[in-house]
Amino acid sequence: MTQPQKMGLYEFYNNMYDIRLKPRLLRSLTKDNLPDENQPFPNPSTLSNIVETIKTHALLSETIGSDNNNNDSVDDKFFDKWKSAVDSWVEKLLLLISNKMPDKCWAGICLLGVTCQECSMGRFLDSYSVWFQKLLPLIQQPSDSQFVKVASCASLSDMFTRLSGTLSVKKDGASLAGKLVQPVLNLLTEDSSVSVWEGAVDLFSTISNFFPTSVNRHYDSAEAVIVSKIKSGKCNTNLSKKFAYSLAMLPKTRGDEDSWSLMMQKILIFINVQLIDAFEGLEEETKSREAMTLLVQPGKDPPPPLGGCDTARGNAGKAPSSGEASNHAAERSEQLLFYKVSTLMQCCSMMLTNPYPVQVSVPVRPLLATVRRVLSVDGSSSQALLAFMTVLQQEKICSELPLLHLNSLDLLTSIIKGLRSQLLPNAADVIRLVTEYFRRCKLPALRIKLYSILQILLISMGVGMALYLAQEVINNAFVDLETLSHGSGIASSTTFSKPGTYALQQPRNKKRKHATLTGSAADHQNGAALEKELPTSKPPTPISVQIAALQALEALLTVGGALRSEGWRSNVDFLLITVATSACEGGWASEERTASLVSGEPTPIWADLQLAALHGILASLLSPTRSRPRYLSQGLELFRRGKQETGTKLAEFCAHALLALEVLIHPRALPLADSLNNCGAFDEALNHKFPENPFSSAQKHSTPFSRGVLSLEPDPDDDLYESWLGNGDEIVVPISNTDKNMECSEEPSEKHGRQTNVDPLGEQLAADGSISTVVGDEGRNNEHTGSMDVERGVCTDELMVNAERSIVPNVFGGVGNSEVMVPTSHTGTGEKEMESAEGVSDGDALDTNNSVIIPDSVVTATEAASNKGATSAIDDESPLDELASINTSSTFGKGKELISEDVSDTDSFPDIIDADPDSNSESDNF
Amino acid sequence: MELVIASSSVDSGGISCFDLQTGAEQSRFKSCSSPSHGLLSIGGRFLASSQLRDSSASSGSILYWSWNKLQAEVRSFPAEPISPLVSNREGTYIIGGGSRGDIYYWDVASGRLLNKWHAHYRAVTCLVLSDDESLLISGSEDGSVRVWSLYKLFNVIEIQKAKQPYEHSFSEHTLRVTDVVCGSGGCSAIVISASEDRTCKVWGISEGRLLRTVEFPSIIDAIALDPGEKSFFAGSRDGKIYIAALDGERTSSSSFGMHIIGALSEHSKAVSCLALNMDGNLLVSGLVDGTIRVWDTKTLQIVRMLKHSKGPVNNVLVIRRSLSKNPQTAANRQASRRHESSLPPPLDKYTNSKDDDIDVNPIISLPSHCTETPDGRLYYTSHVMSSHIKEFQQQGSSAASEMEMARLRLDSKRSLEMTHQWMKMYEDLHHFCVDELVDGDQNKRM
Repeated sequence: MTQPQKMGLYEFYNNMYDIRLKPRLLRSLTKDNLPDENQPFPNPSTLSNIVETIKTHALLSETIGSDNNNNDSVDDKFFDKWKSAVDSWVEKLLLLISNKMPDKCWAGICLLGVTCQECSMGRFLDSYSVWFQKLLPLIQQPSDSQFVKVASCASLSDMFTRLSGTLSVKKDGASLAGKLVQPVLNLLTEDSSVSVWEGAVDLFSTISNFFPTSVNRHYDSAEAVIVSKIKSGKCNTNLSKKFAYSLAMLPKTRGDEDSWSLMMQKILIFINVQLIDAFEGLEEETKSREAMTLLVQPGKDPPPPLGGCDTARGNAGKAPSSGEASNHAAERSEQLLFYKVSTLMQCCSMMLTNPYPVQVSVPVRPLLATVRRVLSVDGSSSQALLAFMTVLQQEKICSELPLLHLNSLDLLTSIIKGLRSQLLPNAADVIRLVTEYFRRCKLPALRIKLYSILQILLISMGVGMALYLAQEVINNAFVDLETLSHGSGIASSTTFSKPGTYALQQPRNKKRKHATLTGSAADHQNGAALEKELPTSKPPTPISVQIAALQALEALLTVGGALRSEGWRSNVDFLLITVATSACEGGWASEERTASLVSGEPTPIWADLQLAALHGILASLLSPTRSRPRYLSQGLELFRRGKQETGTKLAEFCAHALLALEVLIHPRALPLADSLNNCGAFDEALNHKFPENPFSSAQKHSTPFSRGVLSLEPDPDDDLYESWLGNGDEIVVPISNTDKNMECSEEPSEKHGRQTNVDPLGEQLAADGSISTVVGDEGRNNEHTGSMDVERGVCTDELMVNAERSIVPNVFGGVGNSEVMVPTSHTGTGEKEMESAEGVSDGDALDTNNSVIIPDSVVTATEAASNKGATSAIDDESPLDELASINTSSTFGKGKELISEDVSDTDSFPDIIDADPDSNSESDNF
Repeated sequence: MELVIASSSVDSGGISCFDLQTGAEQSRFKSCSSPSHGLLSIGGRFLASSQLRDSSASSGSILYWSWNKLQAEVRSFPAEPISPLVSNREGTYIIGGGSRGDIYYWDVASGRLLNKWHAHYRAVTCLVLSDDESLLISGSEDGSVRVWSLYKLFNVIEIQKAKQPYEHSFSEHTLRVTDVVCGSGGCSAIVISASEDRTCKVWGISEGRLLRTVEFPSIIDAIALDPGEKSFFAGSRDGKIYIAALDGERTSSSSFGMHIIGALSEHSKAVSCLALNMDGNLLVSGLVDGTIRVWDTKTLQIVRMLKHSKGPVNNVLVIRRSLSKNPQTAANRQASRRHESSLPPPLDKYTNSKDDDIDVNPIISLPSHCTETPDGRLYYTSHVMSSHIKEFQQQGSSAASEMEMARLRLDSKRSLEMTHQWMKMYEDLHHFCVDELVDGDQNKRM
């Protein structure tokens, strides 16, 4: 009790947290700022200041937060003061509400709504019924101003929201809500103002959400009213969404399974009936019939039409194209039809994703059939059907179709979201639908949706799905990212206007893009040529589409980066690093966004693209591979640079990426044995490992070799720490291997061996991005996987090879068998492994500086069983592209020589070609 | 609360539930004689177990127990005896392996048999799902281990195109496969299988081949994989639980054999099942002598012994159950309680023919948490107020001007009243004056 007792005019507050401030502040607000009986209404913006102050200082809360540090100084007198201040505040508000002047009344209602939200629980429970009585007449009087009605709806809605949180008054609240339903429905039917509808529908949704039982009685009339509003087509997008929401929430007021299913069925029937009119002349009649038979089984009665029979247009369900349709045609029929269908599709989406108290059975097949039906119409009309429509009609339909497609894609997304794991039996259907549509789809907004659907499918359905979606994602992403992937000088946001080509020659693009680096290199040339040919006709790919494509690729790598990815993995990695490099080349873009004036939604900007590209890079680096991520150093460099952009989202993400990559660079191979001995303290185990070198000298002789290969692998089994300590000089190599050349990150020691002759070439090639580097890359990559197979075998069983040779044949025999048994695996047959395993042991025997070369030989020419073969392989290799062409097409002269010379086992080559099925068509294309 | 749930092949103890931390017995569900891998908790909502029957019986049986009733409530009779069962985390479907080598795929909520395919030449002995639940790994009596893509199995076109319906088939085991576990990591996960040929084999899903063979002194019947995947526990018929390394580095440190780095060996009887708790620091083993032992994986000591029954324990599960599962809304709790109390219908025996398939729709539970209103608002007043204020300030909207009109109308009405008053006053005054004047005149004249 310091000073507050005799709080007078001359006494000052401690600081802005002083609780004594609150009642006095409230009093002065009440006295000075509120409009008065006699005074004219002040500037309305003072109202928002009042609300601001009340919220900031919690003036109505009548409770003291725990953060208050002079609790001891609080006594009853203070609370009395506060209470009386709030009392007079409320009194004043109620006076205002009774005022005849609409503006004062409006102000009172608004402030009462805020009070409902802000005041203490005790006060709220004491007075809510009084307030309700005060507000209720305001929405019943027909004469009142719109603003007054809307504000009353909002205040009442807030009151019921608050009421719903209190269990003790739930019942009372329900009875009050019951009184409210009819007036609200009256508002919707009688009032003609859109803004009043909006207020009323918000209030209705609140009631049906929180007090569902109170709406139950008015279920049918509510349905009729809402549906008639949707049918009227007078609402803007926002409002129609709200109507859709309230219709979707309606079954919840009954809360049983049947109401939900019935509503869904009614809506779907309505949609499909409308579509018959809308798509007349654009689709085969069989399609519409098919969708309808799924909905209403033969022999069963159709449900009553949506919105009940009592409305004038009620019998739409039974007689679709009779009087009603012709009636409509006179008006703005197409637009209205599409609008209704879109809104009801939104409603279906909401029903599928919003909570419902009991389990429901979802009519998946009719839903999918509806989506398929809409997506299959693209505005084209077959000759036979042309008679049914005019050009003008078609024009109108075509202008509205994209929106309809967008809504059906949204519906599809909701189906996927709602069904979750139970989508599986229908997943194949969905995939077919999406992939087929993707091939035809050209509009940016729709492509974004499709990418996001693919992303959802990939993440929710896992690897099994990735196997089948990979190609689709890649084909499309390559096309959409084309501009960026060739981006040398187009990086900055200002110059980003270079056209992309996805709208152009899709099938051909697809083929070219098909998962070979050869393809993408050829594409580069072709693309350039095409650009010259058609300088103006290609629209640029919007950033937002590119972002969506990057996100889909990211999801693909996240989920299925390792399973059967040999065919596309290196291309995707290459694409992502190229995109990221070119996106980030011009420096980091500002994240300040200007919200688009039209939609209010933020438009994606260059910074978003950069962020998406970096996300992609991280996924590509982290996704498991059998070799070290080739673009690790470039990726790290980008992340390090990005991290310096203080205070941006980008920097935040870069920091996260560096953390994630840290584990890749320093795999924590914490052995169980250690953790067991040290009672499992993980950090302890880690610390122990640094000083103690667990390698015995006996093991050491094996490490130069196996390390060399192993260090490529981000396998958690391999332990870089130990390899550092185990063989110092050797391991320096992978560390120093962070150079700009994209090609030489594959093999630490290889770099030594080749640096002189390959690097200039490689760099040069990398610079112009022409075929040969890329091809070489690909070829090597194939070998890579081959050798990595060896490495897996050796790495996990590595000590078997060294320490206990006697077991080796056995084990490798087993491996060989497994390979033969699994024809789906593209690379590395059993024999190959056997031989390279021998190569490994040979390397062990040598164990000196020579071993620097030997891994090279194993990698570049896997089949080389002897040192000699290896050296010759290296000698012959200098024209890189030649070797590459052998691997990809294996038909050219020199290639044959090489094969016959070095390759004792030609059987393995068909495998490589298999893995790269496009190479032949590629060479044909040249 | 973590529960240990155990069942036996002999129906003497039913299904017992113990609190893992305290060892107290929670409840004991009645009449269950399960085969190995035949016990599971479906989405944490209820327990299901396939049942052993004499080999002459042509149909199998699967029972459901809800948490609050000790008797089995729902009985299903599949077309053939089922032994291994597996379900996804959500508990929306059950997959069972039959004695004739078929695998059955049921929808839990409707009980429909959605799919059935011939997977192995002999009986399926174990089933496990990959961590993303898109791949199914099955082991069989014929020694093969197969990896299936669930998506592909439902994709008729894809199946017809493919040479085989499975993704991988591993056939290096020479005898019956006794247990299979799958590591984490989606496509790059490893699969470990144990077999009566005294080996455990490690397979790579992405590589599609054998990565390692670990030979044990005795037959391994159960495997538990350490969450860090540095090692795995293998319960053997000689009563030991071996610890085998998955780590490439340490391999030959014990006398048991390659890759075996230690053993938990106080056991006297054969170990038939293993389970790790969530943290991976307690290992639960079920023995053929009817006891369950809980080990500390760090100290390798037994911390607790539980008694199931006389019959051999062949299934142990460790599941986490809390009284309020999702600390969300009250409505949600009600909903989940409803789930728990009412069990789904029994599983179908046969797949429905495609023709009357129209009516069968998946039954889903919509999210029970409250999603937001379309505009993401809970309280409206402030928003409505500010938008109205904006309209006032712009003075463009009809509603604002309407209100302004109303105000002005009232104002003018009041002004009119005032005017009337003034006029009246004026007239009164006027009359008065006129009267006065007239009166004065008259008076003067008079």
